[in-house]
Amino acid sequence: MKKILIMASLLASASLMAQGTLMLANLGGGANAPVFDTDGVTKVAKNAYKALVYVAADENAAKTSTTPVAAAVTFNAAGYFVGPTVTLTGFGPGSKPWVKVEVFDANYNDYNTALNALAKIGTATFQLGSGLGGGEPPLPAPGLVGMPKVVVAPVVPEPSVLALVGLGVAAFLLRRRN
Amino acid sequence: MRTKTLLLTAALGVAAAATTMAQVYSVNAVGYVNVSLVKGWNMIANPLQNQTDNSVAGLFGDMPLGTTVYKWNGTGFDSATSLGGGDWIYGGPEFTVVPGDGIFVFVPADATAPTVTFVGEVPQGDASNMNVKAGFQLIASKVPQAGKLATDLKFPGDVGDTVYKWNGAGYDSYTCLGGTDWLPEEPTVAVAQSFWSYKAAAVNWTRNFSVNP
Repeated sequence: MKKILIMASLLASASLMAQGTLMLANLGGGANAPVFDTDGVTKVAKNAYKALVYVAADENAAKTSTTPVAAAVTFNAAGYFVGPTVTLTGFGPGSKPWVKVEVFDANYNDYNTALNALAKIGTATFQLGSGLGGGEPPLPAPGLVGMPKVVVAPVVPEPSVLALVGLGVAAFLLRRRN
Repeated sequence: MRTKTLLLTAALGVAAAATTMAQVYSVNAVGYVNVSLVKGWNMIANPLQNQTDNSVAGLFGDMPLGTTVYKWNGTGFDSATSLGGGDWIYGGPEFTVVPGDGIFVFVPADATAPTVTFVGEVPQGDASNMNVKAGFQLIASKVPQAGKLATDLKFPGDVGDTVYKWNGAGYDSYTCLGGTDWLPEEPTVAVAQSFWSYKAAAVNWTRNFSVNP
Protein backbone atom coordinates (compact mmCIF):
# COMPACT_ATOMS: atom_id res chain seq x y z
CA MET A 1 0.00 0.00 0.00
CA LYS A 2 2.84 2.29 0.95
CA LYS A 3 4.56 1.59 -2.36
CA ILE A 4 1.40 2.36 -4.28
CA LEU A 5 1.03 5.67 -2.46
CA ILE A 6 4.66 6.57 -3.16
CA MET A 7 4.23 5.69 -6.86
CA ALA A 8 1.02 7.69 -7.08
CA SER A 9 2.71 10.62 -5.39
CA LEU A 10 5.66 10.45 -7.79
CA LEU A 11 3.35 10.27 -10.81
CA ALA A 12 1.29 13.19 -9.53
CA SER A 13 4.38 15.31 -8.93
CA ALA A 14 5.77 14.40 -12.38
CA SER A 15 2.49 15.48 -13.93
CA LEU A 16 2.54 18.75 -12.00
CA MET A 17 6.12 19.42 -13.01
CA ALA A 18 5.45 18.72 -16.69
CA GLN A 19 5.67 22.01 -18.54
CA GLY A 20 4.79 22.43 -22.18
CA THR A 21 4.78 25.67 -24.10
CA LEU A 22 2.13 27.19 -26.36
CA MET A 23 2.24 30.28 -28.55
CA LEU A 24 -0.94 32.31 -28.17
CA ALA A 25 -1.31 32.93 -31.88
CA ASN A 26 -3.78 31.98 -34.58
CA LEU A 27 -1.02 32.50 -37.15
CA GLY A 28 2.42 30.94 -37.09
CA GLY A 29 3.89 27.83 -35.55
CA GLY A 30 1.64 25.74 -37.80
CA ALA A 31 -1.53 27.77 -37.20
CA ASN A 32 -3.43 29.79 -39.77
CA ALA A 33 -6.98 30.35 -38.56
CA PRO A 34 -8.05 33.94 -39.20
CA VAL A 35 -11.09 35.29 -37.39
CA PHE A 36 -13.80 36.75 -39.61
CA ASP A 37 -16.37 39.49 -39.17
CA THR A 38 -20.09 38.77 -39.27
CA ASP A 39 -20.15 38.31 -43.06
CA GLY A 40 -17.79 35.34 -42.70
CA VAL A 41 -15.50 36.76 -45.37
CA THR A 42 -13.89 39.93 -44.04
CA LYS A 43 -11.12 39.44 -41.54
CA VAL A 44 -11.75 41.35 -38.31
CA ALA A 45 -9.91 44.65 -38.13
CA LYS A 46 -6.56 45.06 -36.43
CA ASN A 47 -6.86 46.24 -32.79
CA ALA A 48 -10.68 45.89 -32.88
CA TYR A 49 -10.80 42.56 -31.05
CA LYS A 50 -9.08 40.66 -28.28
CA ALA A 51 -8.66 36.96 -27.60
CA LEU A 52 -8.51 34.98 -24.38
CA VAL A 53 -7.11 31.44 -24.40
CA TYR A 54 -7.99 28.66 -21.95
CA VAL A 55 -6.37 25.23 -21.74
CA ALA A 56 -7.67 22.05 -20.11
CA ALA A 57 -7.24 18.30 -20.19
CA ASP A 58 -10.56 17.56 -21.87
CA GLU A 59 -13.22 19.24 -23.99
CA ASN A 60 -15.75 19.83 -21.24
CA ALA A 61 -13.17 21.26 -18.87
CA ALA A 62 -11.96 23.60 -21.60
CA LYS A 63 -15.50 24.79 -22.38
CA THR A 64 -16.26 25.52 -18.74
CA SER A 65 -12.88 26.94 -17.79
CA THR A 66 -12.95 30.49 -16.47
CA THR A 67 -9.21 30.93 -15.95
CA PRO A 68 -7.33 32.07 -19.06
CA VAL A 69 -3.67 31.16 -19.41
CA ALA A 70 -2.67 34.78 -19.96
CA ALA A 71 -4.08 38.28 -20.29
CA ALA A 72 -6.15 39.00 -23.38
CA VAL A 73 -4.15 39.31 -26.60
CA THR A 74 -5.10 42.13 -28.97
CA PHE A 75 -5.42 41.34 -32.66
CA ASN A 76 -2.24 42.87 -34.04
CA ALA A 77 -3.06 42.19 -37.69
CA ALA A 78 -6.31 41.92 -39.62
CA GLY A 79 -7.84 38.57 -38.61
CA TYR A 80 -4.84 37.51 -36.58
CA PHE A 81 -3.47 37.76 -33.07
CA VAL A 82 0.16 36.83 -32.49
CA GLY A 83 0.82 36.88 -28.77
CA PRO A 84 3.43 35.62 -26.34
CA THR A 85 4.47 32.05 -25.62
CA VAL A 86 3.18 30.70 -22.32
CA THR A 87 4.35 27.81 -20.17
CA LEU A 88 1.58 25.43 -19.13
CA THR A 89 2.14 23.58 -15.88
CA GLY A 90 0.62 20.13 -15.87
CA PHE A 91 0.83 19.67 -19.64
CA GLY A 92 4.04 18.06 -20.82
CA PRO A 93 5.95 18.77 -24.01
CA GLY A 94 4.35 16.92 -26.91
CA SER A 95 0.94 16.69 -25.22
CA LYS A 96 -2.17 17.93 -27.02
CA PRO A 97 -4.54 19.58 -24.54
CA TRP A 98 -7.96 21.05 -25.30
CA VAL A 99 -8.10 24.75 -25.96
CA LYS A 100 -10.90 27.31 -25.80
CA VAL A 101 -10.46 30.64 -27.58
CA GLU A 102 -12.81 33.52 -26.80
CA VAL A 103 -12.80 36.47 -29.18
CA PHE A 104 -14.54 39.68 -28.16
CA ASP A 105 -14.89 43.34 -29.06
CA ALA A 106 -11.82 45.17 -27.75
CA ASN A 107 -14.01 47.90 -26.25
CA TYR A 108 -14.91 45.47 -23.47
CA ASN A 109 -12.78 43.98 -20.74
CA ASP A 110 -13.74 40.38 -21.30
CA TYR A 111 -15.91 37.98 -23.25
CA ASN A 112 -18.86 37.91 -20.84
CA THR A 113 -19.07 41.69 -20.59
CA ALA A 114 -19.12 41.88 -24.38
CA LEU A 115 -21.73 39.08 -24.50
CA ASN A 116 -24.04 40.90 -22.10
CA ALA A 117 -23.65 44.14 -24.03
CA LEU A 118 -24.70 42.32 -27.24
CA ALA A 119 -21.31 43.19 -28.75
CA LYS A 120 -19.69 40.94 -31.34
CA ILE A 121 -18.07 37.81 -29.94
CA GLY A 122 -16.93 34.40 -31.13
CA THR A 123 -15.59 31.24 -29.56
CA ALA A 124 -14.03 27.93 -30.47
CA THR A 125 -13.07 24.83 -28.49
CA PHE A 126 -10.74 22.29 -30.05
CA GLN A 127 -8.00 19.82 -29.30
CA LEU A 128 -4.58 21.22 -30.13
CA GLY A 129 -3.43 19.68 -33.41
CA SER A 130 0.26 19.82 -32.61
CA GLY A 131 2.17 18.77 -29.50
CA LEU A 132 3.21 21.44 -27.01
CA GLY A 133 6.77 22.73 -27.14
CA GLY A 134 9.33 22.54 -24.39
CA GLY A 135 11.46 19.62 -23.19
CA GLU A 136 15.22 19.27 -23.22
CA PRO A 137 16.57 20.44 -25.50
CA PRO A 138 13.47 22.53 -26.06
CA LEU A 139 11.23 22.41 -29.06
CA PRO A 140 9.57 25.69 -30.07
CA ALA A 141 5.97 26.24 -29.07
CA PRO A 142 3.27 25.63 -31.69
CA GLY A 143 0.59 28.18 -32.46
CA LEU A 144 -3.10 27.37 -32.01
CA VAL A 145 -2.97 24.53 -34.51
CA GLY A 146 -6.40 23.04 -35.22
CA MET A 147 -8.38 26.15 -34.33
CA PRO A 148 -11.59 26.10 -36.40
CA LYS A 149 -13.04 29.07 -38.27
CA VAL A 150 -14.42 31.71 -35.93
CA VAL A 151 -16.94 34.31 -37.09
CA VAL A 152 -17.78 37.09 -34.65
CA ALA A 153 -21.38 38.22 -34.17
CA PRO A 154 -23.56 39.60 -31.41
CA VAL A 155 -25.46 36.88 -29.57
CA VAL A 156 -29.08 38.01 -29.90
CA PRO A 157 -31.54 36.28 -27.55
CA GLU A 158 -33.73 33.77 -29.40
CA PRO A 159 -37.45 34.60 -29.94
CA SER A 160 -38.48 31.82 -27.56
CA VAL A 161 -36.36 33.35 -24.82
CA LEU A 162 -37.86 36.77 -25.51
CA ALA A 163 -41.35 35.21 -25.38
CA LEU A 164 -40.61 33.63 -22.01
CA VAL A 165 -39.36 36.94 -20.68
CA GLY A 166 -42.54 38.60 -21.99
CA LEU A 167 -44.73 36.00 -20.29
CA GLY A 168 -42.85 36.49 -17.05
CA VAL A 169 -43.31 40.25 -17.19
CA ALA A 170 -47.03 39.83 -18.00
CA ALA A 171 -47.47 37.42 -15.09
CA PHE A 172 -45.68 39.82 -12.78
CA LEU A 173 -47.91 42.73 -13.86
CA LEU A 174 -51.09 40.63 -13.48
CA ARG A 175 -50.10 39.55 -10.01
CA ARG A 176 -49.33 43.13 -9.05
CA ARG A 177 -52.77 44.28 -10.30
CA ASN A 178 -54.53 41.56 -8.25
CA MET B 1 19.02 21.42 -46.00
CA ARG B 2 20.99 22.25 -49.11
CA THR B 3 23.38 25.10 -48.96
CA LYS B 4 25.37 26.72 -51.66
CA THR B 5 28.07 29.14 -50.86
CA LEU B 6 29.78 31.51 -53.18
CA LEU B 7 32.10 34.23 -52.14
CA LEU B 8 31.40 37.00 -54.58
CA THR B 9 34.06 39.50 -53.88
CA ALA B 10 37.06 40.05 -51.77
CA ALA B 11 37.57 43.73 -51.28
CA LEU B 12 41.16 44.55 -50.81
CA GLY B 13 42.16 47.81 -49.27
CA VAL B 14 45.76 48.78 -49.19
CA ALA B 15 47.28 51.44 -47.05
CA ALA B 16 50.89 52.40 -47.32
CA ALA B 17 52.77 54.24 -44.67
CA ALA B 18 55.24 56.47 -46.42
CA THR B 19 57.70 56.63 -43.59
CA THR B 20 58.10 52.90 -43.03
CA MET B 21 56.97 51.64 -46.42
CA ALA B 22 55.03 48.98 -44.51
CA GLN B 23 51.80 47.82 -46.09
CA VAL B 24 48.60 47.06 -44.18
CA TYR B 25 46.01 44.91 -45.91
CA SER B 26 42.33 44.89 -45.04
CA VAL B 27 40.40 42.03 -46.54
CA ASN B 28 36.64 41.78 -46.33
CA ALA B 29 35.09 38.63 -47.71
CA VAL B 30 31.54 39.31 -48.80
CA GLY B 31 29.18 36.79 -50.29
CA TYR B 32 25.90 34.99 -50.02
CA VAL B 33 24.56 31.65 -48.85
CA ASN B 34 21.36 30.08 -50.13
CA VAL B 35 19.47 27.97 -47.60
CA SER B 36 16.65 25.82 -48.92
CA LEU B 37 14.00 25.35 -46.26
CA VAL B 38 11.67 22.39 -45.98
CA LYS B 39 8.06 22.40 -44.87
CA GLY B 40 7.80 22.02 -41.12
CA TRP B 41 10.71 22.62 -38.79
CA ASN B 42 14.15 23.81 -39.90
CA MET B 43 17.08 24.43 -37.55
CA ILE B 44 19.31 26.94 -39.29
CA ALA B 45 21.54 29.96 -38.76
CA ASN B 46 22.50 33.23 -40.39
CA PRO B 47 26.03 32.44 -41.63
CA LEU B 48 27.03 35.98 -42.66
CA GLN B 49 27.13 39.34 -40.94
CA ASN B 50 24.67 41.50 -42.83
CA GLN B 51 26.10 45.00 -42.88
CA THR B 52 22.77 46.82 -42.95
CA ASP B 53 19.99 44.78 -41.39
CA ASN B 54 20.07 41.57 -39.36
CA SER B 55 16.40 41.83 -38.36
CA VAL B 56 14.06 38.99 -39.28
CA ALA B 57 12.43 41.13 -41.99
CA GLY B 58 15.84 42.22 -43.28
CA LEU B 59 17.17 38.66 -43.50
CA PHE B 60 14.10 36.72 -44.59
CA GLY B 61 12.07 39.30 -46.52
CA ASP B 62 8.93 37.93 -48.15
CA MET B 63 8.19 34.47 -46.74
CA PRO B 64 4.94 32.47 -46.99
CA LEU B 65 2.12 33.54 -44.68
CA GLY B 66 2.52 31.92 -41.27
CA THR B 67 6.24 31.17 -41.57
CA THR B 68 7.65 31.55 -38.06
CA VAL B 69 11.19 32.27 -36.89
CA TYR B 70 12.09 31.28 -33.31
CA LYS B 71 15.18 32.45 -31.44
CA TRP B 72 16.22 31.05 -28.06
CA ASN B 73 16.57 33.77 -25.40
CA GLY B 74 18.11 31.60 -22.67
CA THR B 75 14.85 30.57 -21.04
CA GLY B 76 12.38 30.37 -23.92
CA PHE B 77 11.81 31.32 -27.53
CA ASP B 78 11.10 34.74 -29.00
CA SER B 79 9.19 34.49 -32.27
CA ALA B 80 8.37 36.43 -35.41
CA THR B 81 5.63 35.42 -37.85
CA SER B 82 5.34 36.32 -41.52
CA LEU B 83 2.22 38.13 -42.67
CA GLY B 84 3.43 37.82 -46.27
CA GLY B 85 4.68 40.61 -48.51
CA GLY B 86 7.77 41.13 -46.36
CA ASP B 87 5.76 42.06 -43.26
CA TRP B 88 6.59 40.33 -39.97
CA ILE B 89 4.94 40.48 -36.58
CA TYR B 90 6.69 39.67 -33.32
CA GLY B 91 5.04 37.63 -30.57
CA GLY B 92 7.21 39.41 -27.98
CA PRO B 93 10.39 41.45 -28.09
CA GLU B 94 11.93 42.15 -31.48
CA PHE B 95 15.23 40.43 -32.18
CA THR B 96 18.04 40.11 -34.68
CA VAL B 97 19.82 37.02 -35.96
CA VAL B 98 23.58 37.37 -36.29
CA PRO B 99 26.29 34.78 -37.03
CA GLY B 100 26.54 32.35 -34.11
CA ASP B 101 22.81 32.51 -33.34
CA GLY B 102 20.81 29.37 -34.03
CA ILE B 103 17.15 29.63 -34.97
CA PHE B 104 14.18 27.44 -35.73
CA VAL B 105 12.10 28.28 -38.79
CA PHE B 106 8.66 26.75 -39.26
CA VAL B 107 7.31 26.64 -42.81
CA PRO B 108 3.55 25.93 -43.10
CA ALA B 109 2.52 22.68 -44.74
CA ASP B 110 0.45 24.45 -47.39
CA ALA B 111 3.29 26.76 -48.46
CA THR B 112 5.83 26.33 -51.22
CA ALA B 113 9.10 25.58 -49.44
CA PRO B 114 11.12 28.79 -49.79
CA THR B 115 14.82 29.52 -50.12
CA VAL B 116 16.46 32.16 -47.94
CA THR B 117 19.45 34.04 -49.30
CA PHE B 118 21.73 35.35 -46.58
CA VAL B 119 24.02 38.15 -47.75
CA GLY B 120 26.88 39.63 -45.81
CA GLU B 121 30.42 39.47 -44.62
CA VAL B 122 32.41 36.52 -43.29
CA PRO B 123 33.25 37.19 -39.62
CA GLN B 124 37.01 37.28 -39.11
CA GLY B 125 39.43 37.76 -36.26
CA ASP B 126 37.78 38.44 -32.94
CA ALA B 127 34.39 38.66 -34.66
CA SER B 128 34.69 34.93 -35.45
CA ASN B 129 35.01 34.00 -31.77
CA MET B 130 32.11 33.44 -29.42
CA ASN B 131 31.25 32.45 -25.88
CA VAL B 132 29.38 29.19 -25.47
CA LYS B 133 27.28 29.43 -22.33
CA ALA B 134 26.64 26.77 -19.72
CA GLY B 135 23.39 24.87 -20.10
CA PHE B 136 21.42 24.74 -23.30
CA GLN B 137 22.28 27.20 -26.05
CA LEU B 138 21.05 27.21 -29.65
CA ILE B 139 24.14 28.15 -31.65
CA ALA B 140 26.00 27.82 -34.93
CA SER B 141 29.50 28.30 -36.19
CA LYS B 142 30.26 31.99 -36.69
CA VAL B 143 32.41 31.03 -39.65
CA PRO B 144 30.44 29.73 -42.66
CA GLN B 145 32.24 26.41 -42.84
CA ALA B 146 31.04 22.83 -43.04
CA GLY B 147 32.81 19.97 -41.36
CA LYS B 148 33.41 18.02 -38.20
CA LEU B 149 32.49 20.16 -35.23
CA ALA B 150 35.68 19.82 -33.20
CA THR B 151 38.20 18.67 -35.79
CA ASP B 152 37.36 21.20 -38.49
CA LEU B 153 35.41 23.93 -36.72
CA LYS B 154 37.45 23.89 -33.49
CA PHE B 155 34.40 23.56 -31.22
CA PRO B 156 35.76 23.24 -27.66
CA GLY B 157 34.39 19.86 -26.61
CA ASP B 158 34.64 18.91 -22.96
CA VAL B 159 33.81 15.57 -21.36
CA GLY B 160 30.06 15.25 -21.03
CA ASP B 161 29.18 18.00 -23.47
CA THR B 162 26.20 17.12 -25.60
CA VAL B 163 25.29 18.40 -29.05
CA TYR B 164 21.81 17.93 -30.50
CA LYS B 165 21.10 18.18 -34.23
CA TRP B 166 17.63 18.36 -35.74
CA ASN B 167 16.88 15.44 -38.07
CA GLY B 168 13.52 16.66 -39.34
CA ALA B 169 11.46 14.88 -36.73
CA GLY B 170 13.54 14.98 -33.56
CA TYR B 171 17.04 15.33 -32.25
CA ASP B 172 20.15 13.24 -32.84
CA SER B 173 22.49 13.57 -29.89
CA TYR B 174 26.27 13.38 -29.67
CA THR B 175 28.19 13.15 -26.41
CA CYS B 176 31.76 14.35 -26.06
CA LEU B 177 34.38 12.19 -24.41
CA GLY B 178 36.89 15.02 -24.70
CA GLY B 179 38.26 17.02 -27.65
CA THR B 180 37.50 15.32 -30.95
CA ASP B 181 36.34 12.10 -29.31
CA TRP B 182 32.54 11.83 -29.48
CA LEU B 183 29.87 9.16 -29.18
CA PRO B 184 28.42 7.74 -31.35
CA GLU B 185 30.68 9.85 -33.63
CA GLU B 186 31.91 13.37 -33.99
CA PRO B 187 29.01 15.48 -35.25
CA THR B 188 29.28 17.29 -38.55
CA VAL B 189 27.48 20.49 -39.40
CA ALA B 190 26.70 22.15 -42.71
CA VAL B 191 27.01 25.84 -43.52
CA ALA B 192 24.09 27.70 -41.91
CA GLN B 193 23.11 24.69 -39.81
CA SER B 194 22.58 25.30 -36.11
CA PHE B 195 22.58 22.91 -33.17
CA TRP B 196 21.89 22.76 -29.45
CA SER B 197 24.93 22.78 -27.22
CA TYR B 198 24.69 21.57 -23.64
CA LYS B 199 27.71 22.37 -21.53
CA ALA B 200 28.37 22.12 -17.81
CA ALA B 201 30.50 25.26 -17.88
CA ALA B 202 30.81 28.23 -20.20
CA VAL B 203 33.78 28.28 -22.57
CA ASN B 204 35.10 30.39 -25.43
CA TRP B 205 34.88 29.02 -28.97
CA THR B 206 37.98 30.66 -30.41
CA ARG B 207 38.54 30.72 -34.15
CA ASN B 208 40.41 33.95 -34.95
CA PHE B 209 39.42 33.09 -38.50
CA SER B 210 40.98 34.82 -41.46
CA VAL B 211 40.27 34.45 -45.17
CA ASN B 212 43.96 35.07 -45.80
CA PRO B 213 45.84 31.81 -46.32
